[in-house]
Amino acid sequence: MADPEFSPEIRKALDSYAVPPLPTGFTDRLLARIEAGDTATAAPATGFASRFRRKGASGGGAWRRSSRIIGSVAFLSLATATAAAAGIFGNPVYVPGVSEVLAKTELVPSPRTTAPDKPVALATKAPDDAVEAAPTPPANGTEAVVGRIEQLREDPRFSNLTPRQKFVVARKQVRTMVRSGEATPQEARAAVRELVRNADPETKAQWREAAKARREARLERSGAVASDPAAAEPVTTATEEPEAAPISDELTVIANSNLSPEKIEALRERYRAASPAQRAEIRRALRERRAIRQQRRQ
Amino acid sequence: MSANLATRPVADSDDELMARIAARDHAAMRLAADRHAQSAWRIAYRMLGDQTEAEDVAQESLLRLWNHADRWLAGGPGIGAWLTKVATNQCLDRLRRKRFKSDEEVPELIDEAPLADAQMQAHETHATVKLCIEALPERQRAAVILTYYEETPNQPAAEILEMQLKAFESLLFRARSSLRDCVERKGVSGPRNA
Repeated sequence: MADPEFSPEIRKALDSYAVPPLPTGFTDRLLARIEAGDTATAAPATGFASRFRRKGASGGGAWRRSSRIIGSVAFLSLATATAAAAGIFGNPVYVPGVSEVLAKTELVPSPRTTAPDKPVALATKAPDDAVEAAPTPPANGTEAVVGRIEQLREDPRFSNLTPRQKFVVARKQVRTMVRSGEATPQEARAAVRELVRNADPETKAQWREAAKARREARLERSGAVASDPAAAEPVTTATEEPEAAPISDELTVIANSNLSPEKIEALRERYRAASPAQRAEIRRALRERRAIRQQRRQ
Repeated sequence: MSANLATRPVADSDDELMARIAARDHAAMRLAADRHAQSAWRIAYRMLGDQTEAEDVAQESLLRLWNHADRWLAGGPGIGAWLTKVATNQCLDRLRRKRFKSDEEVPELIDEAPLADAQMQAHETHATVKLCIEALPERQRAAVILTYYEETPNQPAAEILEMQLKAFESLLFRARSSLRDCVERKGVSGPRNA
């Protein structure tokens, strides 16, 4: 940066600002002070190593103030986090980084990270919200399913449901248990078989009556459709050993008719309960049905 | 113009002198004062514009030399440079304290003696330049005094004020511009017999 030049006139003027000679006796006075031991000086303006003292004078003061404030806030934050992680305010709180350091020092046990609780496998509720979630089942899947169904039966709200509603609620409960891994499908089927087997004769008679009534009602609705063994069965027998012979015939028959939702549901249940060979047969029958429909459309 | 003691090459005698001062040799202290007090005095006088305060600053600077002699590092820039730095910083301290303490001007010494024409003009020029220098901000004032009157090169002057060279050059540019404008505004030309 080129300094602005001083003109000769200004130089002359500046040079005229002469300094008088050092006052006489300056050195004597200085030495007198030294000999008298009066060598105390004011607060050091600079020492041999006071490099940073002057920095603030040209605007560094604001920076220094700001850095002090920021430093104080950072220190307080760190101190608070450390205190919280150390459990000074109660139970230790997990603070990333700080908790690990404290755990390494073995002064404070590492707090558990507050992972959200695993959602409880709530039972799928009936449309009328009739059934509550069941407590934790026993280890055995079959027993768990049986236990859940018996709990349902003990629930007065369940008792007030119609047989059909009871079936829907129970089936949803069992499905939920299967999906959540509480029971395998085989265990669920075994549990249903056990429930059917252990049912009292009166209940079995009721099931039979109900199934018969449903079958008749369905026949009335759909006209003279051929016999519907699936609908004729009691609701809870859906998972019983299916009858192998009539499935394909039945499907062939129903291929020519529109299926009601109940029939579709019954077939679905039978498909689930069927053996692999039977399932293959059902799939084949369904393919044929689909082909028939396509032919009709064409 | 005064000799530049601050940039005098390091003499072995400075270190020897300091060794003797550290051993509390009064004669060595006297020698150091004779050699270097003048520079501290000049700086202080021009910075503060007051004889009494300037003498205080010069004495304080030399007493600091006495007090800190045992911590002297041999091979440094020398006693002159160190005293220049100490005196400059003391002046800045005093100016800053004065600024916060009072807005009053430093009282001028009034010379009642009748003056001849030339003397009057010289006096007027002196007073105007003094006013213009005193009107400069502290650090600008120090920059001008160190570089113009003490003929200190920019780099050592920047080190004395503990600034980066570029920042110092910028400061000096502003200082010289302000000083020139002030002197020109007041219509001062050099004394007739200068």
